[in-house]
Amino acid sequence: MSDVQPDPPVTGGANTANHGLSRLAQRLMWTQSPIARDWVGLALGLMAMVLFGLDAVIDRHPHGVIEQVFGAYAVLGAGGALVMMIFARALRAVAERPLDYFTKPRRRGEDG
Amino acid sequence: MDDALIAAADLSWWRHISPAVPMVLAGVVTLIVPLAVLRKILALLGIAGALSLWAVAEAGIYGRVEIAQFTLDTFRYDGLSRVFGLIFIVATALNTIYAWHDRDRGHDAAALVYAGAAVGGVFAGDLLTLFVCWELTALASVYLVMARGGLGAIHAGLRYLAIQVLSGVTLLAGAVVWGATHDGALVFGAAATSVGDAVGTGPFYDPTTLAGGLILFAFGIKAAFPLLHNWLADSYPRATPAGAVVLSAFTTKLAIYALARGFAGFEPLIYVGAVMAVFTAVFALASDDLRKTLAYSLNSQLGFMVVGIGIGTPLALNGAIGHAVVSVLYKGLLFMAMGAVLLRTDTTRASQLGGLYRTMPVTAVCCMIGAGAIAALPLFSGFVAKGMILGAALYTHYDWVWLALIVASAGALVHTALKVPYMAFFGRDSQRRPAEAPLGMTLAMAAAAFLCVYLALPLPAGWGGMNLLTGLLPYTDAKYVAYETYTTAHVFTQLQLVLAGAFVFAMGLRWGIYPLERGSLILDTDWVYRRLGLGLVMWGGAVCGRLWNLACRGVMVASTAIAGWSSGAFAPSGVLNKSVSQGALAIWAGIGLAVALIVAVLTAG
Repeated sequence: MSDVQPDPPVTGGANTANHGLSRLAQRLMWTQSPIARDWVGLALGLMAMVLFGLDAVIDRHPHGVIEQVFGAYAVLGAGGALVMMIFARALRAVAERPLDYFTKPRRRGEDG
Repeated sequence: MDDALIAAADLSWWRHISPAVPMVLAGVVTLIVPLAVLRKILALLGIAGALSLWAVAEAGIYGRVEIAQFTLDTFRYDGLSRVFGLIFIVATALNTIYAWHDRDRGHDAAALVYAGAAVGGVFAGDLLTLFVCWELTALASVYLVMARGGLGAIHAGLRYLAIQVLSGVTLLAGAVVWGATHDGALVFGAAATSVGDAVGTGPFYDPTTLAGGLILFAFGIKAAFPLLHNWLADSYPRATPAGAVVLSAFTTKLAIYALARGFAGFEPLIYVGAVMAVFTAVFALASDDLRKTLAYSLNSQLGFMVVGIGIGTPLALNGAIGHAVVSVLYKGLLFMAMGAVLLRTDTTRASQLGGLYRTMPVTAVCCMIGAGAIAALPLFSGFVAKGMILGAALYTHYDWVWLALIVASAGALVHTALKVPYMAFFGRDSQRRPAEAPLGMTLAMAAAAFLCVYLALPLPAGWGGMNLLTGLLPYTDAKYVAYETYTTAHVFTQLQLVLAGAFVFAMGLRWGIYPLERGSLILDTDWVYRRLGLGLVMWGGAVCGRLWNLACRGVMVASTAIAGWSSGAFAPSGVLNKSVSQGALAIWAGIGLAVALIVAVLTAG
């Protein structure tokens, strides 16, 4: 799974005491299973497709040229989200630095 | 307050006091009150006083002061200032309840003075009063950044203070130039004469003049224009849990108010706002620190407001102002949720959080309500206001700007509405089991969440809801603002956008497209002055140091040589101590006397 990361160690600090889970919280543990996440994604996809199809029925009174495209808002929502994620990855590749980039003492000629 | 009572007691002067006065006074008095509970009660009294003054005020200009040749209007109440004044007062009340657990006296005082100064700036009728309030907000708010402690917060606070003071000084310079070219008049923006009127649709200050350009630059700094925006994402994540909530409400919205007052209808703002809305969304998505994500997200939402101000039509201005109002609430709510997480877990890094909904369910639900508002879901406040701006962009044929705002809306869905609650409260299990937020925080979040929903409800007349929000907006004439929020088309298209975006987010996580958070920072344009600028300063210092050393060495060499020669000349064996013949002495004496006689004759004439 792409979203699996090693669990971080629990750190100390003020107000960071661990508390036990309530019975309801224990019952809701299943919502974080990979299967549950896949079902949520599938449900979202189905609803998005239904709404996309309903564009043929509902009169949106489009104003601009772009708005007149069939399923414009669904396409823009999906496309916009995808473009944002791709650009964020690219930004990470270019501009990501260690947390102490501005505070670490630099040696001569080091770019960080 | 009953008008008859006021008339009978001749308390009409009460209406002429700016609501900022009780808030600032309460903040100052708070500094000397030792008990925390008393400070909170005093704060609430100040807020109640401010709200009362707001409620009884009538449209007009009050508190006129004559200083030298300048006329200062300290309290101007009209359709534009009243709505911003109200939301600032409400935000102060929510923030006070949120910070109920906080025992820092300076924090309580700074938050109140900061809020009061922002209210004062909103009701200022002249540029000088605005400048005083402008700088007071900077000075008071910097404490909220530094109070968290640590070198990081202190340095971020200093950078924040430098930039805010720059904004204030630039504003003052613009005001001076404006006054010099307008017979000393320091009017702050277009004035209205009655509630229901608002600013005109053309810019009051001409940005192509020196005065207008300086004032626009000053406003642009506080509104976080592109390349002037770094202070926002640098300082807000460093603030205290409650401090970030306070910061998110006032500075930027005061700038939005100022832009609406002075530059409504200035077309380049449309494109500035569109750029703001889009590029900061990318940074928000790439950031690991969720409070930095919210700061960039706030910057993106400011872009929507700036677009509306730039378009300048009544609908666009209503949308921009409405968006500012609801943004104070839902952004404040999101910062509250993250503040509660920070208090309980000592971190807001997405790479270290997850699964907190189990032990912080109230905070999680409130965060999701804030997320729904920023996503502009139907029945949430963002849907009402953002729809007006998008509609105005379409009706005025700014199709590409509308497209940019739609992309930014999809971005807001991904980087804040989905990312923040998912990474903090759901997602993977971080094995943290923090306790729920303190009661004060919980109550404040619940109140803000209620308002985020209530102000969007299409209730019957007299029941408030969305009518309360739209009724506060400056333009009320239906012929200018014919826009129905809850139509089938509006609801349907927004649901299309949100569900499609949410599906892509889920698939992005599933297929590894989503940029997973790591413990790192993303460089922004502040690299220019934090690394390049600092490097240049250090290099310049090194060069000056070497030049200084060279100069000192030169002086040392010269003085040593002079000392050596003079000591040689005056030494017993020196040239000045050599004996000469009497004849030679007489000749030299005669030459000297002759020169003196000639000079005396020449100068006597």
